[in-house]
Amino acid sequence: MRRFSAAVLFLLAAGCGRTIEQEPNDHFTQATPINGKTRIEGTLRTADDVDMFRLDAAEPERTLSLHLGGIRGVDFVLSVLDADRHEIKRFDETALGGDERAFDIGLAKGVYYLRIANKNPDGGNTEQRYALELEYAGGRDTEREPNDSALQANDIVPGGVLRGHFYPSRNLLAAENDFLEEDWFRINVHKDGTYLLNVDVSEVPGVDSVLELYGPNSYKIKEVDAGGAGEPEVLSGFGIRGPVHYFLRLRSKAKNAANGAIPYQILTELIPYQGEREFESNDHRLEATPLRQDAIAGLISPAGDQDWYKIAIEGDARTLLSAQLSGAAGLDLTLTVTDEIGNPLRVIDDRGKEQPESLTGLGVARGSYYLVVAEKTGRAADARRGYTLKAASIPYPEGLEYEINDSSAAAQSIEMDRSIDGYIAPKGDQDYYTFNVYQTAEIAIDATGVLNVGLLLELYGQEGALIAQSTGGRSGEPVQLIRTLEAGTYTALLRGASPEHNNIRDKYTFRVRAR
Amino acid sequence: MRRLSALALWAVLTAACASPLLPPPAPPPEPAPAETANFALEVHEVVTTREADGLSFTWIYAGGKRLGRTQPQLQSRRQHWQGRLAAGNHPLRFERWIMAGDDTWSPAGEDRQPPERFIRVVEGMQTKVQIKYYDNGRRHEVKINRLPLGKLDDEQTN
Repeated sequence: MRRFSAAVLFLLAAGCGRTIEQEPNDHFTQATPINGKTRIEGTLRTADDVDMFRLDAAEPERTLSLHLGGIRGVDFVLSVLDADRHEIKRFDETALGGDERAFDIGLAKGVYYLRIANKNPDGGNTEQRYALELEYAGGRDTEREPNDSALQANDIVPGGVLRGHFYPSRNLLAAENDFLEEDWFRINVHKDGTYLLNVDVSEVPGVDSVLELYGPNSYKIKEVDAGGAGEPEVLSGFGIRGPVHYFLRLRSKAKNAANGAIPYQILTELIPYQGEREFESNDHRLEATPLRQDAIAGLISPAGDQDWYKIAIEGDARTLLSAQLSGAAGLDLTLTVTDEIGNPLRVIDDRGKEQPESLTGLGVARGSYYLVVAEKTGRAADARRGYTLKAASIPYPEGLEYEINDSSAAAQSIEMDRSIDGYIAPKGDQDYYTFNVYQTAEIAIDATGVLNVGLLLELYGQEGALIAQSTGGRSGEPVQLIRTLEAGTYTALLRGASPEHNNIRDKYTFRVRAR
Repeated sequence: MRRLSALALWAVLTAACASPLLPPPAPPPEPAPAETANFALEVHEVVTTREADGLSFTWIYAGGKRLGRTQPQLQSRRQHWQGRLAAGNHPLRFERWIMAGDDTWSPAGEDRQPPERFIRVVEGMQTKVQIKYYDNGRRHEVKINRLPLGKLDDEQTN
């Protein structure tokens, strides 16, 4: 008896969730009401038969997904219309006899219409019923179609996961946009302050996703497309000054690529900025992240990313700027130092893939300088494993080389019987020194050896003529020139015997003596 | 005795205060007549703002001895000095003085002065040294040209 009662209840419940169309229902005024139904059955008797269903959504922020089972002789077109019968989404993914699906239709409180039509001119099926299944869900953590433009963007509250579909493959209502299917989201930051935004888009088989970030004025700020088909995309450490809002645009790179079976997930997080990481977007001088701490972490992502950091040098005293850039997994990083308007002063690319780079000491004075980190090829990126940049400025101590001394016009002065310590770095470095001889004397000019560097020393006279040159022989050996020189001003050039020779760790000592 | 000590102290103090910051001793030596000058100095600075364009002049030293100086001018204007030097290789130093905000003169910092260097003066030729300061006076470049006698004056009047 108890078993019988349960069966009756089940049938009753099933009956409540199911309805059969009531012809005529070709027009919205005749639409079959489907409130609370999860399954609709109907027939398309002729090729031009249209079935309309009316849904009165009672709750806000719900989403609706649909599955329309295919039948013989019919090529379905499934549409969703708003209360004004404006078509807000159309699905026509399959051909004759195929199922149609719809995902994540956002429902607000109000009236909607579903329209089922046939595209096959010889179609119609009087014998076989179609079945349309409806599935409702809470709408806060799923996308809400239509969200195909910034105006229709779904709000995202940072700190959660949102699911959506790369589906349908084409937006059939966007002929002016080449039928591109895209999903827009709006990230609102209501609080004052500076934050870092991280956005992580999960992988979806068969879809090569592209994530774009737009500013409040609809200007595209960032495009992330580091991964390929079936791979995730990550926007990491994007700097935000609240209150503000940004837009995310998510799409498939390839036309007509879609996946109705597996949703994407967008994970967003907003972290208060404390200066320990780069503040994207810092791709240009004017957007440079101020370097206020000794070290800062950054990422090269997407491919072609450049990270600019600004260093302010205070005071009028001569200052030496040094920097160390760590290696980054899979990347060959370069470090460039520029002046205050972005003109390169030094490009450091001494090491290879995954190896560090060093700025050994650049003479600077009051003003702004920039350190620019980039990947050498412009084609590699890593959104998860980054680099660390350390920089320091110290008052210039006497007895050290003061770069830039790469030309005779910028030669560094050295007094007789004094010495200067310097680096043959970066690659191709040339160090010019100038000295005065006040009376004819035998002058010895020498430099100590540096590991992995074959030294070359050249001596030029006051009028620029080459007087003598000497090589240190093998790599790591010292170099020396001894000449009797008349009173005058002379210039010595010290460099690696090959442009590849450099050493960022060990200094040479350069000395001029009268004997 | 006490009055004598006070006077002596006053004299020492006034002398100490007066020496480094006062304008250079006036009047400057007259430039050598054009027909005998075989050495010319031209100094100017690239300044980026009107506010940065203060007054400056340059002392010329040869072997530690003052030869003369340019007239005080706005830094952006070309300052000239010319004189006669014996043929030979001379250790020359060009010392730049700047007028500070309180209207006192003082030499620019040591790291903003061109180091002493030898410049050869050739018989029958005129030697022209051009110094251009830039980057707020932190950097400079020196050009040395030699022209047959007479050309120097033509160039300056152009």
